Amino acid sequence: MTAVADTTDHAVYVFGVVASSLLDSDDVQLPDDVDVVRAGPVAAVVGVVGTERKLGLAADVRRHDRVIAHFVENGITILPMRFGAVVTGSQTLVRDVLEPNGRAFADALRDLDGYVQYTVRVAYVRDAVLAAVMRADPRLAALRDSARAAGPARDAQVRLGEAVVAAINARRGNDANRIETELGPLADRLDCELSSDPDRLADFTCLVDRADADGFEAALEQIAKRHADAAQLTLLGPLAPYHFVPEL
Amino acid sequence: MTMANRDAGGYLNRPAPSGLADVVEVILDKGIVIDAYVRVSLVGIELLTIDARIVIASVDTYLRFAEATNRLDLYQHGGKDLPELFGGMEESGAKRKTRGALSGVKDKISEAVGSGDDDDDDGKSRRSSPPRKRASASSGSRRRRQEDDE
Repeated sequence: MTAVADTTDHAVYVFGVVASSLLDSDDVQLPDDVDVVRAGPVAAVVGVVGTERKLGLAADVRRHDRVIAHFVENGITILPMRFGAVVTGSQTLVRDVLEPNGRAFADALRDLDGYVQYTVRVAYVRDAVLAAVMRADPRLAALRDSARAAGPARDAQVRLGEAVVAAINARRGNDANRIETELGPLADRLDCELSSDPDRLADFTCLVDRADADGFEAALEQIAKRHADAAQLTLLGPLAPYHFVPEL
Repeated sequence: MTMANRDAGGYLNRPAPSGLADVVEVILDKGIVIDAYVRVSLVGIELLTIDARIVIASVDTYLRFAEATNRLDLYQHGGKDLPELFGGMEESGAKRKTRGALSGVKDKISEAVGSGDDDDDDGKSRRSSPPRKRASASSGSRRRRQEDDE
């Protein structure tokens, strides 16, 4: 255990929590700049971070992602911390984080063992959704006609754009429900978060058994193909179960 | 998220490596949050967060969509049929649904504000500037602390 800190110029950055038993195998290799702090059945995956600078540069974010991904790629279930968890030292980590929450961590690790997260990001094909809202609401066509008649007059253009964006926002929930219905059977747990960006539809977070990962990815390809005229699907993962960790 | 891209057959977009924005959305938004009691022993490193997630429609957005609408040729998108997008079960778009973007934004904002609350009420805090606005009472005491520190 080199990640001790408890000095003023260094601190311990916590990436996530794993089951101690999984670390005992000789097959497990930690990334170079990473260490573990054990407390009974659970262990924190940590690194050292300087306290004299701001945390959150692109490299910091990449590092967090890279360390978590290392465990996912090696088939080790990890409960990821939200980015930015820093404690003063290993002792503090054990006393204030690992011991009080040991039961919750162990339960969650058991619960999530063997699962990965996929995030499915769905964006509208812009011209397709524009055509859909224009056809659904004749008032938009009227607004467009007046905007055209007004030429480059800004107010008319803003009114048109505002009405179109409102119409897209109004249909987003229904469109998301439809996709959610198709994703539902593919995931053990599924969460939908509607987007606030007019070009995007929603993010779906899916908890999938590792054993079903290939089937999930193949099914996603089919869904993407089926809706290619209306939406662009982006698949992120397999990821650690960021979305499904317990609230402490 | 650094997995190699598998051959996906073309329709499904699978960025590899993931763009920074994708990474940020996942790791800033979700994951275990150490509870308030523990924050006492957190180090006051200033956390820079890039909030790429909250998009509040602006005049620029409206102008962009107006421009796209103006050059849209409706007859190239679905002909004269019903405004179908996802499989033909669509209801009239005139039935407005208020759930959606608005509540989504609210959730995001409350999460974003919550995620900045790392190390308050701690006399040892060395954070030099709060990343988020806070309730007036604690931001007052924080401000005094900062002035003492600087």
